[in-house]
Amino acid sequence: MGEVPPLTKLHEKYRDKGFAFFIVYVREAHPGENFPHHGSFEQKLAHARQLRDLERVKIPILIDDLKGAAHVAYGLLPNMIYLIDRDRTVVYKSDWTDAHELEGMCESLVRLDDMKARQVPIIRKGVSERLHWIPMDPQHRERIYRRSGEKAIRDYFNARGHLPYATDAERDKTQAS
Amino acid sequence: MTDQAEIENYNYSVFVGSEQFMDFRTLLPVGSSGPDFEAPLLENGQTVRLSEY
Repeated sequence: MGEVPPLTKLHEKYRDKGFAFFIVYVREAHPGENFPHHGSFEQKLAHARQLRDLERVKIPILIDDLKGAAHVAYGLLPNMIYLIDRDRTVVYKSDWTDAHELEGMCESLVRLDDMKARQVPIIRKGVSERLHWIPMDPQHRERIYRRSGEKAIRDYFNARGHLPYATDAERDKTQAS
Repeated sequence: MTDQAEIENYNYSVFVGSEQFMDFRTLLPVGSSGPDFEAPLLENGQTVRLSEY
């Protein structure tokens, strides 16, 4: 959710350059008392509306089906991102949304269009890989989990052994005790 | 798996941290074709198909 504001800026910057941005609403990754797991499509729609209003989402939201058909097909991760070109080729994917990285990729495609228009010869399509480090804003993360409910925090703690918004130092302390 | 079981399995009620981050590295590598899918827009219910873009 922290990436919604920068993604919105990209959506506004690139929509007139042939790009279409969509958020695909999938499942409640951290179901809690306020946002429990989905049991019906109507409930899923209601959650998506709340998400849109709470986060002031301006990017069009697509609602995946109740079995998560699109989510499953694309890898089932909670915050992943794909950039797909006009031929439906995956040109970029990331296991966590990073608007800065995405902007660089959008620029690459804009440059490609420009090279094609100027008939610049292209040797071949290349592939690059990189690791990225995902920063955490503890206050923001705590707000998101508390919004879902105490259960979401409890379940995360039970699964990971630390609070979802614990800093590295706090995690080390928890693991040492 | 029945539809209902599939739905319940996908929409887990308790987070257990089963994300497969390593599998993501090899699934749909760049250069492959993105699976087509359709889904309704929240705004107006209009169905959007990826291949239409």
